[in-house]
Amino acid sequence: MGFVTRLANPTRFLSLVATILPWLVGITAVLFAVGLYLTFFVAPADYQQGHTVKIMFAHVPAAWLAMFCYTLMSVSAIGTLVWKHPLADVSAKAAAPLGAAFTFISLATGSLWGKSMWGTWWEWDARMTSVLILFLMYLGLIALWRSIDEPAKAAKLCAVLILVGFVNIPIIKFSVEWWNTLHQPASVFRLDGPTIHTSILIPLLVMALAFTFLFTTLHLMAMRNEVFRRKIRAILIRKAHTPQTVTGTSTS
Amino acid sequence: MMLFSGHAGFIAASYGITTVLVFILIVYLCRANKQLKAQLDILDRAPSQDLHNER
Repeated sequence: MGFVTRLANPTRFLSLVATILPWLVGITAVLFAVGLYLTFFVAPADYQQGHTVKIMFAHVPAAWLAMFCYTLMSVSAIGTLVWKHPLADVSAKAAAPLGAAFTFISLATGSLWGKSMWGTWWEWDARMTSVLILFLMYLGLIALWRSIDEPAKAAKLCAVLILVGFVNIPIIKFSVEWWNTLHQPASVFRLDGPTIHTSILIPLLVMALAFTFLFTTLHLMAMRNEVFRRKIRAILIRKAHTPQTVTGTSTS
Repeated sequence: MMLFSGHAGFIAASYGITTVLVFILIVYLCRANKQLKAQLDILDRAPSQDLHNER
């Protein structure tokens, strides 16, 4: 907790980001190189789906990140409402467009995979519909942040909305078990262990790690931009108040 | 190529969409960072110039 409290200082946060960003970029690039090599040259074709299974290596990590990102935003929302940590709202606001992007990737790649395997682009089943709602939640939150000028007010309102919307995350996760869906049930995170063969599971986990590092890198970049935006706003507000004093001093 | 036999278009479209979207995000974030840094530099410099002019 002490580390998180120390990061409340924007200068300290910015210097930390400047130090770790190049490392994150490097690790992400290496992980993607290894992950894509394993995906296209090592992982075998599925006995039923053939090579179309390759779509899974982009679709599944994007879907995991779509849910992870919203969970991160919910933790940040608690940080905003309970601890009033200055970076909590910055973190949530910076994560929203990334979450929307990864949810869109998950929906688009899922649709392409569905068309080639099920013969349909879209089906209003529980998993797909709940992920679409997640995408709309992200868009709604981005719109809400942009529509309120006062950052403190926007932070509180968005934090409440994020926490209300968190109810959708377990619905997405368990929708394939609670209802009869066209979407297949979970095959990696199961109590009785993964049902995927290791020759496919390992490339999938490497790609998931690569996507997670990509998300972390983009999130820190977006947070840094948001800290700059707030600094600029603070300077402009200070300037709007100080000219009279400065002018008064110089003329008197 | 055996790699893309069958539903090649679907695989290419999936990775194409993912790449393009990630590329757009990276470009947007880098450009925004550059603009914000420039704006911050101008604002940081402005008060000292005012003081200099006053002197």
